[in-house]
This record gives sequence, C-alpha cells and structure tokens, in this order.
Amino acid sequence: MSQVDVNEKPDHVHVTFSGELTIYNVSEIFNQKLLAINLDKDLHIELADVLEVDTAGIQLILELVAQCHKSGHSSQLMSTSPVIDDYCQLFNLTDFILQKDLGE
Amino acid sequence: MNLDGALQTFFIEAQEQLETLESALLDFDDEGLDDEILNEIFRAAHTIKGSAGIFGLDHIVSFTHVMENVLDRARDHQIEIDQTLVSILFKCKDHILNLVKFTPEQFEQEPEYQNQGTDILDALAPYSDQAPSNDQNTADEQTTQENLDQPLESADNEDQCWHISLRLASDCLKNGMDPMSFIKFLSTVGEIKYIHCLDDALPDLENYDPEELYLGYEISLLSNADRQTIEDTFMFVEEGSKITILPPSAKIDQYIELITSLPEQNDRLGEILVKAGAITKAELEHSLSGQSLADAPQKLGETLVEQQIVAEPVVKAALEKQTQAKSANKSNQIRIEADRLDQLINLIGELVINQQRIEIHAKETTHSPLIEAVTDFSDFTDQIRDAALNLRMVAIGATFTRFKRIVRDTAIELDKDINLVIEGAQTELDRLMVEKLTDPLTHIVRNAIDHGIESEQVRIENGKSSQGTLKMSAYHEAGHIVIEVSDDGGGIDKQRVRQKAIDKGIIEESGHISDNELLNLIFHPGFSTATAVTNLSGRGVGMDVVKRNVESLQGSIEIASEENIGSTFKIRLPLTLAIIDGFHVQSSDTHFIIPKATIIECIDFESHIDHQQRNCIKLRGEMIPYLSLNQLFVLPEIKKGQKQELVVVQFGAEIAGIVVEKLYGEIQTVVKPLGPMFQPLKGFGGSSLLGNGDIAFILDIPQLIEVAITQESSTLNIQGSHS
Repeated sequence: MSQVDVNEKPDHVHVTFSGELTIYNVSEIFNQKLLAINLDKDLHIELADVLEVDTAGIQLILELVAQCHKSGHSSQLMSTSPVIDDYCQLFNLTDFILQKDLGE
Repeated sequence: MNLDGALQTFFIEAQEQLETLESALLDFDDEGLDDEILNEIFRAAHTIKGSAGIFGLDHIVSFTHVMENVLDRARDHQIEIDQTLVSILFKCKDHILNLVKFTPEQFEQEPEYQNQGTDILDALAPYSDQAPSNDQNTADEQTTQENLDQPLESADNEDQCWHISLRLASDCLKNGMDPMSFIKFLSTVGEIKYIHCLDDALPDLENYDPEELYLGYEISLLSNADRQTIEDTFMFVEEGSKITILPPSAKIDQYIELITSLPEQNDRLGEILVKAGAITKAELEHSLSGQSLADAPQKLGETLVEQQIVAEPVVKAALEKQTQAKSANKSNQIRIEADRLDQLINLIGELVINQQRIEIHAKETTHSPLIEAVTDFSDFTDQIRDAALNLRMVAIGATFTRFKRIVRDTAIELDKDINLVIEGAQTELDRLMVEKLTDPLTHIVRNAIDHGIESEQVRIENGKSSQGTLKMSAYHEAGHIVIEVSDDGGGIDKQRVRQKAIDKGIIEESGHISDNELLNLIFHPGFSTATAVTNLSGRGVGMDVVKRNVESLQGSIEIASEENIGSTFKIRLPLTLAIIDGFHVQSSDTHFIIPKATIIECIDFESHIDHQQRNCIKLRGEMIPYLSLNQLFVLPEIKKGQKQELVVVQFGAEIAGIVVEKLYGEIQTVVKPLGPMFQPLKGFGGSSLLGNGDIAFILDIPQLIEVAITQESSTLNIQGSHS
C-alpha cells in the first residue's frame, strides 16, 4: 500500500509519503493529494515509511521542495528510509534533500 | 510505464543477438579468421551486455563482460581464435540464452546454472587478461593508439574522467527507462567520481507531469572504457535525448561549448563542472570572462558531432550501418503472437464451414442471382483461407540453420570432418509442423553423423574424400513438402540389419524379405545396429520414435541406402495440418472423414469373399485386414440388408479396409483438434463441422490400421489354437 498524507499546519505543511513511490503510482499520488497543495509555507517531508522509490518518485519530492523554495520558504526532511538514502547516495542528492533548508 | 514491455523487447532482442552471434560463430568455423565476423560477434556480445546493464540484469552483465573482454583481445589480435575457443564461445551463447530467462533474483536460486557459468568462465580465463584488479586495461590500451578520444596513459586520475552530460528524453520514465539504471550501469564501466542532479527544469505544480522526467545529470566518470561503451549505455534513450560525452582529453573549449549549449544558466553549470573536477576554477573564470563564450556561438553541436565522427573507430560506423540495415528490414515485418494467428485461422475455419452451409441452402433454391453470388462468395472465402494459412507458413531455412550447430558439435565430438549442405531453405511449411519436426530431424542428423558417415581414416581407405557431406534439402512435391537428409557415408549394412533382426526375433531366419522391408526394420521399436553405443545415438530408442513423430504429422518416412555410397531419409509431409482433403463417409448415423491421401480405393464390401471371423478379405489375391467402424466405436447395429462399402486405406506399407455404410465423396475440411478430454481416444485425429452443421470425426488412419492388423492377427491366433 502506498499513500501520501498532506497535513496543513498553521506554520508549515507536513507531507508524509509511505509505501511505494514509483513511476507506477506517482501520477495517482500527485493528482490526488499534491496538485492542490499549498506550498506558500515551510515544507516538512516524512519519508520514513517509503519502501520503494525510483527516479519518478524522487523527482516528485524534488518538485515539492523546488516549488516550496520558489515561494521563498524552506523545506526540511524530517525522516528518511533506507531506499531513499540509497537513491540519494547514488545520485549525490544527500545535500540536496537533507540540507536544502540550511542553504536557502 | 511499460517496463514489462521493455523487458520483453530486451529478451527478444537478446535472443536475436544470440542468433546473430551463433551464426557468426558458425561462419567463423567455415571461413576461418575474419575481422568482419569477429566484429559481428563482438558487437552482439557487447549489445547484450549493454542492454542487460540498462535493465539491471547484473548476472548477465558480469558474464558477458568476460566474454566481451576475450573477444576484444581477439579483435586486437592479442590472442588467436582456435577451435577450442569457438567451442567455449558456443557454450557462452547457450549460457546467456539461459541467463536471459532469469531475473538476477531467480538466478540466485539456480545453482546449476551458476556452476555452469563458472565453468565457462574458467575455460575462458586463459584467453582473458583480466588480472583481478586490472579490469580491462590491457585491451583498452591497445585501442588507445588509434583512438585520439582515449584517455592519455600518462594523465593522472583526475584527467581520466569522462564528462557525461545527460538531458534525457522527457518520456523515458514512462518507457520504463529509469536514469537510475544508467547510473548503476555506468558504475560497472568505471567509477562515478561525481554526479550532479539538475532540477532547474522542474515546472510549476500545475504544469508538472509526474511521469515526465525533468531532471538533468552531469556526471564525471573515471573509466578506461572507450567512447562506444559509454555511448551504448544510452542506446535505448538516444531518441529525444541530449547526451554529450566529453572524453578525458577534451579541451576547455569543449566544456565551454557544453555549458553554452545546455539550457541551464552558464555560471551555475560552470560551478557544477568545477565541482565535478572537469575543469578548474581558474579555467572557468578565464573562459567565462574571456572570449571563448562569445566566440563559440551555437555551432558547438556541429563541432561535437564532428569530433565524435572523427574520433569514433571504424567499428562504430559499421555498427550503425548494421543497425540501419536491420531496422530497414524490420520495418516491413510485424511480430504477432502465435495465439492470435491461431485464433484467426480458427475463425476462418468457421467461415469456411458457414460458406459451405450457405452453398448447400443456395443450391436448394433456384434463385440464380443468389447462387451466382454464393459462388463468388465461396471463391473469396477460399482465397481468404489460403491467405490466412499462408500466414502460418514459415521458411524451413531457419530450422535447417539450427542444424549447423548440431552438426558441428556432433562432428567435433566424434572427431569427424563434416560439411553440411543446405538446399531449398526457402521452402515453406506450417509453423506448427516446423516445431514438431525439430526432434525427428535432430535424431536423423545425429544418426547420420554417428553411424552413417565413416571416420576419416575409413573414408580415405574407401577412396572417398576425408570430409563427409551431409545434405539437408526441402522441396514441394504434389501438395506435400519433402524433406531429405542424406549423407555420403557407408550406407546401411543390410546384412547386419538382417542378422540383428533375426537375433532380436523380429524376422524369421528363413523368411524372405525385400531390401526395402529390410531397411524399414530400423524403424522397428528396439532396433539398433550400432555395435558401440555412443552417447549420441545407438540406444535403439530413436528411429521408431522418429517414425511415430512423422506419422503424427500425417506424414511418412522412407529410407534409401546404398552401401559405400550413403543413405537418404525422405520425410513427406502435408503442407498444413489445419485443413485436409478428406473423404466423407457415414456409418450408422455418425459422419467420418478419412484423409484422402490415405485412400487407395473404395469397393463393394459384400461382393468380396468374407473370411468370416478373421476380419480379413481377399482383394486381388491379397489378404487385407479390415475393421468396422460400427464395431470399433460401438455404434448402433447395422440394419439387416443395409449395403456396406469398404474403403481401402494405406499408410506406409500397411493396407487395411474400413467398413462403412455410406460414401458421400470428397470434402475439404478444417481440422478442429479434439479437446484435452478426448485426446487419449484412439482412432480420432480431430473433428470437423460439416456444411449442414453435423459433426464429423476425422479418422486417424495409422492408428486404425494398427488396430486392424492386431485384431486380424489375434483372431488368427485364436483360430490357430482352436484348430
């Protein structure tokens, strides 16, 4: 089972991904919950329960982060999972995801 | 998003590559060392490795890597290719064919194949230069001389990095190509020193399509591989992608050109390149502030291309040429599933039946325009049927070609020199038939090599050339296809066959038997004339199976053999199994169809002397066993006074009669196989629908003849014991 939860808090928006996050379901996930997300806030991302990820999945996370930064807010990765770490290691994305909030 | 589809394509492509590889290896055998052939073999192995890497099939990559390395050395004339190596390469091909069936996970569960792989790799080891740490260096250094694009040997590590800039086609994720697999594959080619993932192209949320790829990649790869290897990684995504590969020796200008050509901002890209170690900060600052940028407008595309062409070895050009030729060839062919084709044929069968029904009804009326229209309709139906059946026809050439390998392997094993001659490769026959023919043909071919063709020494003693010839030919003859396998060996020793048959109690010592009958004894179950049993043939379980296989295809097999000149096996088969020319008969209320090819004549049953209780009649002085369909299939008793007919049928040398009540005449009928439940039933070959909607059973004549003969001899025995 894969799903995404978007929880809008007063000062930030909390997005939790879980299960599978791949080309097979990114469209569904995106259209259901993320198309209308309010990114005019800080972004907190939880990835601890992501069991499978590919480039389409990572790109979706990067998109949220990029749009959040574009609107002048910061993003923070609250938790990560082994598959996410592996992917980021391969693509040298550790900085990008983990420390983006510090850099901006 | 069709990864399975892409993977399927990979399997098919890999199989094609392996076939190319095998036929190239076979050419190699025939013609000796030739750079062109060697290149072809190398390319096939290389392509398989490349595409396997893209799909993350590491078990295939690691195996083909060693093979490729050996081939590369051969290409550079560092090692000589000999028979032993060719044999190992054949095994490699077989092994890869096994490997592509498994995913890496499944492969781990297959110790048998793993061991097989290790054995082959061990055999390859003497030809490979791969010291464990040294990977592909030696082989690659060799090409360095002729390839300016290669890393300079003296350069330090930093300078040996290739720079790869990837802006892949936006639909590549949807097509099942994840950049992850390319990156993973690149790390098998070399070491990824640096990678930067560019997110600049990500659009706003409302324009974002989650299934499109927006990310770009700048990669620094430390590798001794040549450009082709790196380029081939991206073979599957070339279309619509912008891929720039800069060699370690690239000048700063080339990087500047790269920077300007990319959509992202120049200074940002510059920084990435500095991080990647491709250029130094000083070089960047100098270039960006200096003239290089202004002076190098958009013609860099041309420059890059130019540079590539210049730098590519001839191999690359040859590869492209081959790919083009292949795709041109492919464009007028389509692949379809065999099932769909069978379904079409099935439907056309129904169409033919319905057309016959309409014809019957139309003839009942006297409406001449209707009858005329129906006649036209029949005409077209026939054409459609023929065209559809034609779709299933394949040239036998591919099957014959497969025997090159069998002949080669068998000949080597038996230490004989054999030349395979193929004739009539264009001859077409039903695809189903081709599949079922492979086994019997293999057996005949092996037998011919093992028992037929003599050893070199014997051949020379007998005044023949030391090289034996095996000929496989196919041709059409009177609505049948004939396949001949002939050898120029010693022929079948009739005396030995005779002795053996007597020893085995198959024939009487005193009995007279014609040469032809004597030869046919080798089809007798449990008969083998080989004095020494080899592991190839000679177990005596072969020729009878061959005969049965051929007969199950409604075919027949003959042998001709002359001592010291050779033997010929002649297999005669109908063109297709889907439609037969039959003869429609009736017994009680049941309809039967007897394949026309088996019928000799129809006679009036009563007017011939009936040897009661012997199920045998005398026809022109010959005793013919017969059987009654009514008795055999336990149909209702024949009414007294009902006229009965006898259809005399023949299969091979055996003749028998079939008692029926009514003869209708010739009919062309579509064979419908019996359902699995009814298949064990003896005597039926299938069923068919008649024009009036009734079902008719197609009789399996070889089986019925067997039944008739056994019945006859058993009644004879009973009688004998009574008297």
